[in-house]
Amino acid sequence: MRLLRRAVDSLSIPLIAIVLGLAASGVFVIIAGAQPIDTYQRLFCEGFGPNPCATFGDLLFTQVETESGVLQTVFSPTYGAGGSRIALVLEQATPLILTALSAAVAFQAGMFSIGMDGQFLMGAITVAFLGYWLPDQIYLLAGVTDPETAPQALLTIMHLIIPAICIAAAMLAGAIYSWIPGYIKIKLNVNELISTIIFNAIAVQLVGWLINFPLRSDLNNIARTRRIDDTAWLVPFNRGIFQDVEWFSGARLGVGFLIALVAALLVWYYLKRTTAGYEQRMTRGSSLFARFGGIPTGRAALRAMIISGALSGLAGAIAILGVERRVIDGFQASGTGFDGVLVAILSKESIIGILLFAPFFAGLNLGATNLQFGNLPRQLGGIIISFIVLFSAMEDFIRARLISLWKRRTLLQRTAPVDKPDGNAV
Amino acid sequence: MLTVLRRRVLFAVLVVLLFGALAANAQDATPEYVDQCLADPSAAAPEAAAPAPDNSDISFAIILPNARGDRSFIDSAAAGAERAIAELGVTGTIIETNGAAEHDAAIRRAIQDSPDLIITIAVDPSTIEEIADEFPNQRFAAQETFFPGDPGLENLALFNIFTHENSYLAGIAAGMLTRTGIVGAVGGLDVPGINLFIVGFEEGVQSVCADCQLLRSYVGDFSDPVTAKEQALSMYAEGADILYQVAGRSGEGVLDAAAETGNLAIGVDSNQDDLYPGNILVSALKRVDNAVFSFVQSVVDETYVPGITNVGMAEGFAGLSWDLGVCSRTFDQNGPADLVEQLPAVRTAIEEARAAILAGELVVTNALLEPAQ
Repeated sequence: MRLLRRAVDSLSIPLIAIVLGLAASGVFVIIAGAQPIDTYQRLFCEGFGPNPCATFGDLLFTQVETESGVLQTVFSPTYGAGGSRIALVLEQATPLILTALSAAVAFQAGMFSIGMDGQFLMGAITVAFLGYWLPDQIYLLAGVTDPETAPQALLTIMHLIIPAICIAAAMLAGAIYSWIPGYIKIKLNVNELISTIIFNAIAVQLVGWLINFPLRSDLNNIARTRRIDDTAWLVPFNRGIFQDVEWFSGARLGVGFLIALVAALLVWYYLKRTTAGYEQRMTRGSSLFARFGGIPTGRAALRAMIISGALSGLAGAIAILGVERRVIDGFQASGTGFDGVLVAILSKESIIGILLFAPFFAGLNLGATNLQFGNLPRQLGGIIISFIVLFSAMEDFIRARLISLWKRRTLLQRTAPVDKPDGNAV
Repeated sequence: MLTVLRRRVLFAVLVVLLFGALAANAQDATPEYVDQCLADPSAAAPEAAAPAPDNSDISFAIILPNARGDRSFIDSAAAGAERAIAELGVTGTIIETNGAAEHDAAIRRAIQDSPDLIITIAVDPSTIEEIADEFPNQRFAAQETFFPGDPGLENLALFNIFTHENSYLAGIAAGMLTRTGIVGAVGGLDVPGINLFIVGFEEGVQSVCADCQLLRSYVGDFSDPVTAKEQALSMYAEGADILYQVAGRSGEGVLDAAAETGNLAIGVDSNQDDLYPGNILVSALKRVDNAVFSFVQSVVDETYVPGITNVGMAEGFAGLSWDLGVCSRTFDQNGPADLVEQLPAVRTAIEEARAAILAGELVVTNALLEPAQ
């Protein structure tokens, strides 16, 4: 019962925020000469709906024509003809979940680190390099000239260990890249917000240079690294085990998503159920009090930074190993890490909130880009998203308003006879 | 009464004098060069389009690599798509994306609608190869994507538009009109696709001005007008007076620098002559719009052929903004008088070179096919 009430409590406010955001952006939709309701339906249909999808109702149930020509009502989220958009949303939510978890861990140690983007990039570039370099070394050692002719046993072993090594290396790279700002914060009291912003900028430039020069694979117009070896590839479901399930076709959803879910569970356990997690939460709550109570606050904050960096590095690893398979120039400017920070802030660093909000955010983004498939301008989508985010950020304000409204109403009811003295009162 | 009569006589005399002067002038002018654009007003405007046939059951989607408004190849591609929708009567969806990170998702979304053709503009070959391989039943056209080798996909078509020849013609204009003897080129990236333009341009300059000094710089980005402007300013400071920009949206910085310093620049891809009238000598056009239109037409006519087709100036996919059909004369009206005076001679030289190139007597280095250059 308590859980249910908490769920209703935490869900109702974001829903109100979404409705308010939609209403406010309606002004711009009308200015752009579009119908607000149509536009919103398009946005959500393109983001979360089945194909075809025209109304809000289609988001839940839709009528499709079967092969025999009979109309049949299906449950939309599981309907996947031509590839489900939910699968696409989950694919794009995976790095968001991980970078948001990363931000949540750092925030919950009182470190306002927003270095997720830089750590994400460091992880990505690490696996983009190891993903082809490591197999090359192994082939060399094993005396295999053409990977196609390599013995199956060797390939199987490589397929088991190389992704693991790559992921570990990416987490290490992210952790180191996050440890530095943490260390200079604790030892030299350099503001971690500023240092992580700088570190993000450095990572963007560094990765841009690495792609364009040392790791550049060919004379392609857009610089790119070599594609990772097939043995390093986390084969997405649509090419692997669920090859025949149409729901997965079209999206590169894969093991990475499951890893993200496991990571979410582990982060929850770490924060809520371990001593170390308690220490870092205490450090955030009141650093002085925590230190007085015998908690090594510096170490707790550094530990949080390292875990945070490792999570962002993991996000980068999955983006490359499971989805992109190589880094193309432009990838470093995608801002995935920043979106993760946003998701963490909007979901108030709650793990459940992140798991719900990341796909929601990814779907909104998808819907905004694809508004154009309904011949609506893409900028409109950006405006609607911004308003929803804005009102979500005003959650506390909305909550306070609602509570005060509710209180005033009950107060009025209770004091009504006193407030309205009339002839009957003696 | 008398004054009116006198005025009329005066007017008649003036008209006669004017015609006489014009006739005399025409005899004085170089007899070889007749400005086709001015001689035939209908040449400037494309013929009025016939009412569009109804092909609304044929659909295509075009994915642009960035938002419109680069006043370069993205706008050109969008214009081609709009022309196809208007003239062929097909159903088209134009999708703007926001950088490389969105290309893949946008293409996959377009596939869900299963249009007859998906055209991508300047999307990375690795993305396209992957998707075209994954969806063998969907036809693709990948314009402005340079494949290092033949992708060998049965559902992928593209034009390689060779722009070395029209760049050569622009080089002739620059070589003949430079006052300082220094001309330069600003490229987006040091890649074969960009050097194709620059090498052709430099050969053109040297063909008419053997001791002209050539400058070259690369911005490192196709959407960084600020850096491009700085590079252009420093090249103008070095004494260059004509710069050729081959840098997409970055190139606007070069054009801006030309206007700021009172020098000249040469536009690229789209007709950019009117952006800074009088400061842009000419634009070397890459007709991405024609390519897009041809793709859609090939689907309507059922003549879609997968694979790479090489096209260039001969096929009308590359040219100058001065050419028939575009007939930009902005520089004639706004340029410095001493240079405008030389334009007929320049155009004569360009037409001669064009004829020689089309006849195969003059071969311009193709930096795409000879990357060693």
